[in-house]
Amino acid sequence: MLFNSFKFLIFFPIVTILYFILPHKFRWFMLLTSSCIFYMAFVPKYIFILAFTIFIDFFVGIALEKIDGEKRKLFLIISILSNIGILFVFKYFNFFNSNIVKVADFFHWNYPIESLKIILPIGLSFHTFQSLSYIIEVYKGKQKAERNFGIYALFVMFYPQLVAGPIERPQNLLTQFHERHYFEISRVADGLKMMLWGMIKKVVIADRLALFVNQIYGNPENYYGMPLISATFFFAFQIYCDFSGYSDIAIGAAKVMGFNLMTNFNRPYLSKSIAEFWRRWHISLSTWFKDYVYIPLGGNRCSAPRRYFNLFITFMLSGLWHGANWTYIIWGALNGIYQIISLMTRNIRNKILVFTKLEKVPNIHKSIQIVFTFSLTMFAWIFFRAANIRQAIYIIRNMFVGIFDIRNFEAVIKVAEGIQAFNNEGLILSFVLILFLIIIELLQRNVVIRETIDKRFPHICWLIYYAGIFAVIILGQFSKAQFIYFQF
Amino acid sequence: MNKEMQLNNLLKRGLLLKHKNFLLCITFVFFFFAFDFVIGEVLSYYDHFDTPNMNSLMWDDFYKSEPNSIDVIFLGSSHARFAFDTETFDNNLNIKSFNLSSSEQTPLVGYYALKEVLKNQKPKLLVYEAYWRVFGIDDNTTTAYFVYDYIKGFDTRSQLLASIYDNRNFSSFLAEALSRTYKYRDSFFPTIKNVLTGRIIKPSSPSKHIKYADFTYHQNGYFQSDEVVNNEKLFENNPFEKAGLYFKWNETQIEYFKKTIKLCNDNNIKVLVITAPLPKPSMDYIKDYKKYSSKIMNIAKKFGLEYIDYNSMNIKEGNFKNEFFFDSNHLNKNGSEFLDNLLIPVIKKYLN
Repeated sequence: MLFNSFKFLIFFPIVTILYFILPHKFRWFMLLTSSCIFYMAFVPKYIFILAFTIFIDFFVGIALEKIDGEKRKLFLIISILSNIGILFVFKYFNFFNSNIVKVADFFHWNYPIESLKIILPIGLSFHTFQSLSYIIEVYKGKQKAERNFGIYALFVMFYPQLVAGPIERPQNLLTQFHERHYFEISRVADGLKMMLWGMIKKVVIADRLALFVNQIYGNPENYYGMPLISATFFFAFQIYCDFSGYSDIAIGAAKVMGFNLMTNFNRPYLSKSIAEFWRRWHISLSTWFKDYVYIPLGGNRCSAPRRYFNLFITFMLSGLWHGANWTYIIWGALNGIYQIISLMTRNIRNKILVFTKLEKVPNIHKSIQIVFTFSLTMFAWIFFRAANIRQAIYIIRNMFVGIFDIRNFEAVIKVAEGIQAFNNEGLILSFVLILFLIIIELLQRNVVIRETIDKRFPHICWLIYYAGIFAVIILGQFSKAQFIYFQF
Repeated sequence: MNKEMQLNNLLKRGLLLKHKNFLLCITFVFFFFAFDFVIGEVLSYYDHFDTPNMNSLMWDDFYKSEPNSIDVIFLGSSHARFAFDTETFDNNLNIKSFNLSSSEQTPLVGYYALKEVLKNQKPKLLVYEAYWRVFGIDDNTTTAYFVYDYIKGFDTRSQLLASIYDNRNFSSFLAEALSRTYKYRDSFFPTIKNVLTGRIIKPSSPSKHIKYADFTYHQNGYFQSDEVVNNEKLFENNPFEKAGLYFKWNETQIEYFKKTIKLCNDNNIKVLVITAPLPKPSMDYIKDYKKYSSKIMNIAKKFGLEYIDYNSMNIKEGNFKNEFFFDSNHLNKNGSEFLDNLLIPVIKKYLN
């Protein structure tokens, strides 16, 4: 079920109330059952796939603690292969197979293997990585193997973060299932406020921007110039609000029950470099790749060319994780290239900084860095959103065509007018909402707004929360639009 | 003693705190629903600001009727809405009739409309327009709005709501039922525009002959169009070209059709089942029409009811010319007049 659905509006309070009513020893069982119900609301039979991986990893974890020597590696490989194997079959087999078919056709080879007709299980990439994280940490001796099968299953299936993260580390989440959590009104209220903010980002901002983006990116060949730039600009905020909104709802829902999930986004569009962007965007995934791919490859403790190679591979794999399509791989590779160029040009850029005396006006310098970093990420998003490389190339080649022509700006308005449920107000409202988001993000640099509202405006804080709720009710787009990251 | 008193004080504070938190929650929820109601009322006021909602007009007219004054009730889809001119029947038969048909009204929705009617009316006859396509509708939520939003009976509304709990779009329907703000949120921007341009008080509108885009609301639930269908609507863009290919009976709708008949029997109301005609070019796309018509005929026969299928009549005799329709589906003013003149002696027979 989706977080922005009526079913979840009923599911969440029931689960939360049951959680606090039940004695501590039964809570994990209730949460596990609820998480199963949550998962089975999508495609019920896929729970067996999840059960299979949970079963293997649970017993592998125990075996890793009991066994010494080379056999430990064998168990580790079994677990990794089973997890990656399932991920490969459901997510990547058809992609690789179709590419082999193209190569075979080119060389006139006989290639008999057909693509599989299967649907990707929801959240597969997320819980696979979470399971791998557990096994690797147990292997390294940094995490004790969980002895309670139900608790381990809950660690993998915990419903707030089951289908789209954050990808949790066992050191953070697993131990919390053994802790007793009490009902604390301030913590519950804080969790609900996070969920409200997540909803605003998702249904008010992201889903509204999606109407315009889908119109343009659905048929980009019908447009050039400003409509393409506008759609790409909107998409940058759509994907941020969609994904960070989901994370906020997940973190807030967990917090209500007393669980602390990791922060997944930290105002990424205020980053001054691509490296900083990746320390702020999808933090749980980027740290996963850093700890389990980049560092084992050698990280930055090697020669410069080897470091660049490590970066490139890590980001390419990150792109592949997002989807079985060349566009995602290119998107990942592009981000890797950005970082490599950034490292290679560091000295030159410092010299330019001194030469232009920008270092003496740090605020202007910061602003330039932020705008430049945002532009680079926005450019990369073209590949992420385009249906295929041909479309991405079309967009890049035509997005600056005629941008100084006033008719090009009128074209944006015309597109908006043609979209039902978007209209003229939708276009203005979209810009207002993006501005509102930027202001909130800027304010959040120094304060936690939720706490500030309660402290500084104690008499009207309720009005602010009501305004948020009614913003969701009135301005929210409640189509069946899924969260973008569900498809991963 | 001191320790005991301290412990008691702590316990009392803990209990007070729990009660305080509980009271805070209740207060927050209470004010939410209060704000929801107020905002919803403001938005509903500015909803359909210039031209009243047609279903709202129809039900308002119904509730203005004197108790036990209505002799004949018409139920059915939009085909019935444009087919039965209540003024014609009233003048020719010296009765009062009311047309409570609505767009895609399914037997399920029609059943609850009738239940609401029977609260303060005792009609002698129900003319039930059985358009076969509504018997295949699985999701009643779209059509249920046209009744649920306007009937006043809380029990009837609750029963209608409960009867569609398993429909695909039920959650959206329920959200609109629970939150007035959510229901009228589409008029948020029109409300802002109206207020900013000084259009604060709604202009009063006549209760009769209210003009909409292609048609006019006359009175007592009857809608009329003076337009005549063009070839493009009949032949080039006829919706039955695709819609006519597939149809499957929905058992729930058949059950509610039977329940409607039983409800009438229990209340000594005679029932006449008819099917309003469609233009021949539309019917050319319907391959298995005889089967659909037979099924309705069989149900009517089982209850000893008369069934007049003007559609089959039109296929055979062609007495409903294309000029009698304003689109590929609905009778225009001339078509309605022709049909009503055929129906007058039939209804007279029932009332005698």
